Amino acid sequence: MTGRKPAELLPLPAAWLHVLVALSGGELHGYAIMSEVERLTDGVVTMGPGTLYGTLKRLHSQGLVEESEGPAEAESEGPARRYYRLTGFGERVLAAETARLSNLIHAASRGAVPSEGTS
Amino acid sequence: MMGGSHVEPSHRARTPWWLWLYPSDFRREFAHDLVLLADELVQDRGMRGRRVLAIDLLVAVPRIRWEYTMRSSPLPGQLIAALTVLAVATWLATVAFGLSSTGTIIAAVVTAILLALALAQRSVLGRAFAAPDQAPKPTTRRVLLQSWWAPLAVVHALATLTFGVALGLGGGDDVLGSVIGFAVAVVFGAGILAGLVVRLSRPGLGAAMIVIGTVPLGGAFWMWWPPVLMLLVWIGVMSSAISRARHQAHTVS
Repeated sequence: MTGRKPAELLPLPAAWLHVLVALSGGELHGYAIMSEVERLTDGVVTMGPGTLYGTLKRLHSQGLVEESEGPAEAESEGPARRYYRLTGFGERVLAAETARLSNLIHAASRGAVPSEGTS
Repeated sequence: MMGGSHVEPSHRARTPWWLWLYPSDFRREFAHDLVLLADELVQDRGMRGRRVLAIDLLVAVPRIRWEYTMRSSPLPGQLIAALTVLAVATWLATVAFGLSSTGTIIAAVVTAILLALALAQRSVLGRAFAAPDQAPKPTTRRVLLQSWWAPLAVVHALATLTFGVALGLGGGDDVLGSVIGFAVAVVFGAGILAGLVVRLSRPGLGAAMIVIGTVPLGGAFWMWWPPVLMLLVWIGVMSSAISRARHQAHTVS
């Protein structure tokens, strides 16, 4: 993935952004990603299994996420799970998308304030 | 780690039916994770979880199937997949807009010609992907998945032939019309049966013969079953052709 610029992937589809933001706090397994996305969106977005793993597959193929070993204690807790984390490129893409959205929101906020003489 | 109740999918008596809707490669890679997540979703969220699962199947499965077909099939397979979507969408739209209008028949013929062209192209290009002689023998499951529609095609062929004979015997004042109707029905009905045989050695040509053969009776929209039967046969022929193309591509690579 060397040589690729984050801007090439922007703007990110909503599902990609949700998963990347969820993984920005560290490695997570599928259920934890789904729960984190649900929490981040105040319960508005609940990703089903196909959507979640389809998205993870796409993110993986683009080099934005990778599988990880998971925490050491995970092996003794319940069923085997696949953990995912952001790659360096994924972090840069997320940062670029966050900056893009911030600029957009900033611009929208300025536009929402009535200019002098309009009211 | 965020919590979810621990459910072990291997404790399940059998694989959930919805898992088979996903492409086999995707299923092989994520079956355990999909089942685990679905179980936890339903266990923790109850009816809402089931609703999320149902919507997810409607939204995610077609998209993932499309992506896998486009990525893993050779060009003919991709064309067939694209034209299948086009044909089914056209067909459904036509049925919705007017069951007995002339437009229905025209749309049916146009879509059938499009499909036949796609299948013929696959037949020609498909030779480049021919499986080597030492290709493994197909499993019973694979054979069933590839040919579940064949009995329906036979029923369709017999119904077409019966319709043709009835037209011929019915006679009436319009002798020329009866003769033409009889000839068309017999040619197309026999074409389906011949297509089933030809398909064994020339898959593309045989599939095209079957698809085209179903058109005359399938256009009889004043009865509910011929269009449904035709649609099922088309879907079967298409999915079988795609499956074969992908299998051959995998075998060669």
